[in-house]
Amino acid sequence: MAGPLEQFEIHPIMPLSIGNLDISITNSTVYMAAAVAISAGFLAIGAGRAAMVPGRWQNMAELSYEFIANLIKETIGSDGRKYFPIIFTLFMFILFANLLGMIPFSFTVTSQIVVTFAMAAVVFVGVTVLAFAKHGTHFFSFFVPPGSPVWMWPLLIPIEVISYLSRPISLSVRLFANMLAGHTLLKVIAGFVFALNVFGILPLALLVALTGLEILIAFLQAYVFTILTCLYIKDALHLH
Amino acid sequence: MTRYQTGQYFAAAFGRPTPPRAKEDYKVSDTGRPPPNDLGERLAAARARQEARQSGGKSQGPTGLGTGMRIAVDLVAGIAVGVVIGLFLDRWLGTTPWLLVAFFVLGAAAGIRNVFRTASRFEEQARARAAEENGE
Repeated sequence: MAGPLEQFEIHPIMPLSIGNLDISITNSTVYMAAAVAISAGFLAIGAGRAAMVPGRWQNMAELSYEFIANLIKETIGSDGRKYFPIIFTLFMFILFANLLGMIPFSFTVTSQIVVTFAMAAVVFVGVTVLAFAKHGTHFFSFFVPPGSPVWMWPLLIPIEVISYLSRPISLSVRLFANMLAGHTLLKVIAGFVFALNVFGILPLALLVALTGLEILIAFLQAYVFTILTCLYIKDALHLH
Repeated sequence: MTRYQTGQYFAAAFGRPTPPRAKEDYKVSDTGRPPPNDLGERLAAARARQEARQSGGKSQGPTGLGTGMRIAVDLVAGIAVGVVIGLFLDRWLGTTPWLLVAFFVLGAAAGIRNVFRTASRFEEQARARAAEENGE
């Protein structure tokens, strides 16, 4: 029987390399491409027949659009409209990667720290560049807590800088840890089902409940990643 | 209750005159054109109703597990960044282990700052939700 951690292994499906650089197509690549293709297809079907009275697909596509549009309106404000494409893309990609991972025997892309950290790093660098473009060197005032006495600054500024630098780490680790822990738990409980023979029905019932919880977490973590991205963009636009 | 007569629905198809309807029925869009004056008002009212319904449905709090996880990760991330900076500077300047100690403390402070920020955001959301519920 497969161990609970074997699901996270990456296998090359099509070995490729340029010089010493390994660019093999792996199961991770395939599932990332699938997440992109399915989310794009979902929206293309939804937007393809823009009817006055929306059908099921159009309704779902519009629902996801409005969800993110409202989120941006509430967290950033009306000047956040410009950043809708990147925020929406991030949300849909993470959501579909998480949900694809819930299909039995599939691979969860977001359970790899490389993937989540790459996304978090893009957000971090993008937000920092945005803040510099918007405020120039005035951006450094972000690291000074408002209303603090000047003699505290040598202590407070390093703390604020470390806090700022910890953003991509907490952003990526949160998503990665949730996915890793959830999927490991599912497989561990699934192991009990066979080990307990007739009484395996109990862990099986638990497994059904946990699968539901994991689907909720798939949505929740995509939402959390998105809302934090929105908050970082808001900080970059308005500083304090 | 309205009693329908046989043939009422077929009347249009067979070219017979349909039974006369009450005047209000024509108000909507039988003419194929928007009604003259009150469409804007009615749209606004419908939007307000929809908004009220949506914000009512959205008001469930985050799960306890999710909140705990977020706060734990916030704390650890601050410490991790502090330790990495400390180790790096120590190796670079040859001051092992003093900068590590200093930056561990700073990192812990930054982690607590992160936690404080996240917690106050939750507090703010909870207060906004409470205000919304009291308002309705």
